[in-house]
Amino acid sequence: MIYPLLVCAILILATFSVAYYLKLNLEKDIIIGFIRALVQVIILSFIILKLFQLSNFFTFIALIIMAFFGTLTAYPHGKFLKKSFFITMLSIYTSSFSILLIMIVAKAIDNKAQIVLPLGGMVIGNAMNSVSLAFDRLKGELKDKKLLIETMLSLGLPGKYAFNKIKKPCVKVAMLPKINNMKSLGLVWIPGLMAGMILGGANPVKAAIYQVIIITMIVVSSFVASLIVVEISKYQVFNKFEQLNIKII
Amino acid sequence: MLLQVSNITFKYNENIILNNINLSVNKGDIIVIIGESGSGKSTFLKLLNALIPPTKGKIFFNGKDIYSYNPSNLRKKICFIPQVPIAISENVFNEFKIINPEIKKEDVAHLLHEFKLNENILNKSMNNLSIGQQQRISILRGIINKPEIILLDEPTSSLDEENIEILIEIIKKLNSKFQISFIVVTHNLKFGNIIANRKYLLKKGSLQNF
Repeated sequence: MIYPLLVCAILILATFSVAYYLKLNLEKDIIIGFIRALVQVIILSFIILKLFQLSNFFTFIALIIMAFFGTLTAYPHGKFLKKSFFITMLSIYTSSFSILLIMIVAKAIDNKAQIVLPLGGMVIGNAMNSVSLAFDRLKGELKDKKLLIETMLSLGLPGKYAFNKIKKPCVKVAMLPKINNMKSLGLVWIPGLMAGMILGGANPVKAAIYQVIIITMIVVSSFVASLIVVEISKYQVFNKFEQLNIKII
Repeated sequence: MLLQVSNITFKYNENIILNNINLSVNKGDIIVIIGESGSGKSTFLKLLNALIPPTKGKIFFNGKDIYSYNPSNLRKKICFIPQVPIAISENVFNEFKIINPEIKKEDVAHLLHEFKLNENILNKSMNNLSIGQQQRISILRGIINKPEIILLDEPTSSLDEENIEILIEIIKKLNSKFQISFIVVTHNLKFGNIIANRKYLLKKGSLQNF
């Protein structure tokens, strides 16, 4: 059990060293990310069976806590905006909980903790990543297209119009990994949940359908999350006199 | 008085860029502000176009604080032409259409012709034109809003002598035909001398008579 972990630790250290050598400023995130992942999944392994027996109410509470940690992880990417925590929270909670609710109400998934919790985790995690990517791209677009935005504003075009020029790439970048995953499902990658279900004795076709359900939930929630981030950020990028908020640039 | 700049100060990260600037502009004035790179000339124009807020002081347009106007309406009347012409659309006609959705191709063609541009560029991307043509479109794009003041930021910086001549003609024509006032910032003294009614020097954040 310890040996594979040692191999992983060596690989992470090698990645850390290269990142340090290339001055990528990723070293801290790599090390902290690895330690956090290790500690978090070990704790989870002790309590997962108990979590799967939770009532609906406590399942809901667990999802709220998970989405809160997702918010804590993603919001620093939007720190160039004043209300990034609020924007992140709104987009992760709205996107994840609405898709879960739709799927439960439509009876597309079972309303059981052992189903809702892992699915919710995947949906929240992916929404968190989409939010981070959308924020990062938005920051880059604002820097790269500052002159274009200023030109449009200076001609009397509204900030909303100028913002549309940078909105599309933000949503596209946030969605790209999900769309690639959807396109290559079963061809390039064999998803963990599907493999796990089959190994656990489930019918492979049933496992495949479940995987399609999951990827659909991920794509929809990620799309909603990135769209909310971009749309709400618009109100932070310009002040009420349609001036670029100069703290952003 | 068309525009009055009253005790404008602008600080960036606690550095004073512009210090207590005062300026009056009347209808038909062509004011040239000379200054070296980094002297705050562009910042000054952005303040007048309300693209950035001043740290202190007020700017009045037709007797009213510029911040009492709707920002889009104000910017249409005090038009800022940045140093680098930037395409805001995929072709020249749409550069105008975005600003005035009712404008027709014939109107734009006529405008181009009047300012020595061939109408066959209408369907071309602004990025594929020469810098002189881009500069002219950048100015003409602004005048379809019928501005009362045009703010030109280093308009000659990438132009050759021939294009500078054309630019001088355009400025004089717009000034005499439509009584448009100009505030032009430049480090090109020769160009400044030809067009100016009044000249100022911007040095160490202060505006001095020149």
